[in-house]
Amino acid sequence: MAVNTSATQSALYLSNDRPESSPTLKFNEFGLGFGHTTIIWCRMTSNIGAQILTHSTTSGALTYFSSDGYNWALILRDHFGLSQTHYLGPITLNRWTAIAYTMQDGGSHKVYIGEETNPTLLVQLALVLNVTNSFLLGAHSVIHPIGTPNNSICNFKHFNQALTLAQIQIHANTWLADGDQSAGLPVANWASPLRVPGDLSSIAIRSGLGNWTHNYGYDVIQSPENFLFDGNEPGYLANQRCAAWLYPVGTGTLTIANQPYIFVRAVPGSTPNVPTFYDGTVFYRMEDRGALPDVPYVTHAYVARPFLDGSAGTPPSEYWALFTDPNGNRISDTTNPIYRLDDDGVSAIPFTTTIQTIYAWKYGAQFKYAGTPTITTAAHGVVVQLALSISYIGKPTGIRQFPIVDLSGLFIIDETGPRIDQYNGITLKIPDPTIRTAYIGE
Amino acid sequence: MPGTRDHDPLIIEEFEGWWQRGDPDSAPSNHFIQADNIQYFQSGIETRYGLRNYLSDPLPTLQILRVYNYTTQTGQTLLVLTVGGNIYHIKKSTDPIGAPILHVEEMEDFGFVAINGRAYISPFKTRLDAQGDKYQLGIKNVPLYVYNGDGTPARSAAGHPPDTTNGVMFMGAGAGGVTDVGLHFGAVVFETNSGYITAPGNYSQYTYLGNTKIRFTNIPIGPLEPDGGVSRVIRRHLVSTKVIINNNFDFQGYQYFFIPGGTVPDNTTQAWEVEYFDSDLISDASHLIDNFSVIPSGVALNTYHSRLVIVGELGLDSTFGSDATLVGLPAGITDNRSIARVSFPGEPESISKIDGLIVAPLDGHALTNVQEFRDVLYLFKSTRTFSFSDNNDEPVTWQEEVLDQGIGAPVHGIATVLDTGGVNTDFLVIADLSGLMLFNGVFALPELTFKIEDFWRGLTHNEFHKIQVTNDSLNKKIWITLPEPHRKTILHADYSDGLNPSKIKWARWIFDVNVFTIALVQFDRLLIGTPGPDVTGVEFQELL
Repeated sequence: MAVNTSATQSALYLSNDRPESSPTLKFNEFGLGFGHTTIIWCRMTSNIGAQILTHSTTSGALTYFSSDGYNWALILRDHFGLSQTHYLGPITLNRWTAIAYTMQDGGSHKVYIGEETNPTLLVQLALVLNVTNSFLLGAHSVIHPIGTPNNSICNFKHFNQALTLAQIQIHANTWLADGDQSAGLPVANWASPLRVPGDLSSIAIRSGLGNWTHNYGYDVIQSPENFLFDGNEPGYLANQRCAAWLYPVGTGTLTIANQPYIFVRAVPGSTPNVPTFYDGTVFYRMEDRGALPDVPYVTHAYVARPFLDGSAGTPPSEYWALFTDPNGNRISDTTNPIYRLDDDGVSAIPFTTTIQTIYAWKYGAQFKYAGTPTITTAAHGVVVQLALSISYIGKPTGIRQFPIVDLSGLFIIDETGPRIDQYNGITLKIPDPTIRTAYIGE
Repeated sequence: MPGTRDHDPLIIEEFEGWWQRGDPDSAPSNHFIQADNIQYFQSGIETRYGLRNYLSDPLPTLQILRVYNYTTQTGQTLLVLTVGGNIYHIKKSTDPIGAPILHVEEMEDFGFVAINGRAYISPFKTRLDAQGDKYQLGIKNVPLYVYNGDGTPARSAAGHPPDTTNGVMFMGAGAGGVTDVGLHFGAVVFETNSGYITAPGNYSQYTYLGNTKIRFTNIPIGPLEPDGGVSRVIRRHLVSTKVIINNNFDFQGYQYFFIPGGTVPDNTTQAWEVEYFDSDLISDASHLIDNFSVIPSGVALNTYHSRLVIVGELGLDSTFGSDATLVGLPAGITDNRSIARVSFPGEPESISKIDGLIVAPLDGHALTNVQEFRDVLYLFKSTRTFSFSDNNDEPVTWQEEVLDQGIGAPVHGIATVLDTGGVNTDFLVIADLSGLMLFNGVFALPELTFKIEDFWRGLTHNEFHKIQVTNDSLNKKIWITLPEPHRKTILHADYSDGLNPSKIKWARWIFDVNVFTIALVQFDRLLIGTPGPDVTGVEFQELL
């Protein structure tokens, strides 16, 4: 068998079954919300509630799937703040569940849910919701799957057309590398990059693409070993990690329950009459507990969607990424457009970052307020939904590995503690001592 | 039981540790042929102690490459080098980690010595010659640094003389007074916050009238540091010639003296008056002209008779103007690998370019280490040892004696003792290619590693710069870091029964991480520094 060499494998990061954040996709060009179908796989690992998937609109309306820890729910909220909650069924912890839904703006919503039964069985989707409501949700502009410490997400697909149950069934159970392009099947306009080569970071203008499936970074795929997942078995997920995103350290700060997800916020109070930059008040570190091997980066990007914090006043005129390196040095360049967050919420990571040091970097933003002739009350600028997008050469090992920095540092012999080696909170046994204890001459 | 009826029990009264020399069957019965992760106590063997975090604040996570004990005037602290060329000063294990005190992108390792509470830091890196042999030298155009120990960034040691950037200094008549009559040259020297006195600069001249004080105006001010920090100059000194009879207009061609009362006690005052006679000029300042204003980095630093000694320099090119050390070398010679620079006594940053050096035999190998022992200065190459003795004259006149042409020491191969940062007990322990050597004026044979000679001889000679030795003289233990493929292993020796080849007990301590560096803290507690596991990542099985 010919072997694929140096394929550009991509992933939105592996985090030991605990993805924490996820891609933000914009659909300005083709709209969303008129009979489009979305498929997503999710697994809850605890009874802590989590939001799974969000559609937001330019008008401010929201549609999102969530769990309260015990049941799946579809929540519809219009731009006046009115909302409806539709419970969709109970959650089985640690079981992968496929959710597929098709919704209409002010029309009907169909939701199918299926749960894997064991690693060898396909999911069987069943209709759990079919309602018609009068909510005017408007054209959706953003779709955003969300991982948390309590749930994992995988195989996310979106179709800008409504699929039949039979078609959904095939797509939910199909893991073809180049999208689901079986004869006669609709083609996803975006198939999860979490399991196939090519991802957001390989796409130059993310919001400008009509089809997200055809921008993969390599041209020859001859061996299934080069895929994150091979075969066509969704049950595979039960035993293999799902690719996911890096997530911020300190999960307690990750607010999932309600929008807006404020991570980095500038509170200037008022703006002077000269253009001024304000730092976001919080910087976050990302971490990965997954199995990304030590391989060369191809590209990487920092995803942080800019928003306003709802307060009245003059908004920021520009949003820029701001980093601190492992030494605490500020890294910013407001003259280089690759660091600007405005267009699609994606900024390049400074090239000095490496896979060994990426966990020690901090990610934030700064906000520019245009000068005004008189001092003006400023609206709070925020960025939300921080994430990292990584492309690299190689493929995940499938073996849990600690990031190198987790086991680096200064460690001292502990003469009074137990005979174990503790590295930054990771406890390891002393490797194979020749003998435990032996007394000589007794 | 068949076969054991007539078996005589083997009684081991004294267990002697690990043996790896010759065929395993030849191991004496009171030795192990494998001794991993064990330690010895009075009457037995046990699993070694575990590890725990040393720092209360492990963030930002430090990928440690080198650790030194840094003895300040107020306590024992650490200097650590991390991946990326940053050096941090860790004063207490409970303190948050501050910003690095030094960043040198190319720095792979560094030499260090503490003098009067200040840290002298010399970045260096490993190179590969055409024969594939690795050697270490300082980094081109990277200077020796001095760190005051207060958290402010380290800066290049020594300093440039005053210049005329902010104008020319003038000498003229001041208030009424009495001086000798005639032409005098004057200049200024800077004194830095580390005690270094620069060469004279911003020369001026004035024909003294004899009935006035001498007024210096527009006295140059020490510049701010390149990173915007405060100036290293804390005071300035006025210097002068005696009366000049034949003026050849060469300012640097005359002898200068410190003017009594000519110390300007700050870095701001720009006018100062002095009154003196030529006979008052006693303290000579001429030698300052020959000193390095930027000292080239090397691989090892140490002290000898209150002098700073630095060996293994690559050098400075014309970037540093008259300080260049690579100018005029014969064709094909690109570094000063056999030169040791020696400072004036008590002035570690004052190193004469003319006679503040000693030259080891030019055999193509670089100097690797330097150590004082029993009043003698020893210079080491990888397989050679030379001695020099202070003859109370300039270092360039010190006589060389070739002590050993088969035994040497790598850059970290001389054992440090406890947490003092020093190496002297009543002997030195030196890691030579042939084994761990005891040195008490001569190298004692056989080597301390006699019992594990096969293991030691299997270490890659080209990687001996990764060996670091530390000696816990309180508990009579030695630890040694090892090169690949034993990077996760440190050798442990227990010499509580005697520091000799037969009584020393060896073991291997193996970790899940690469141990790049070791030190002793709190007198005798072993500290290991690691950049983490292999770069390819390691699968770990958590115990808890």
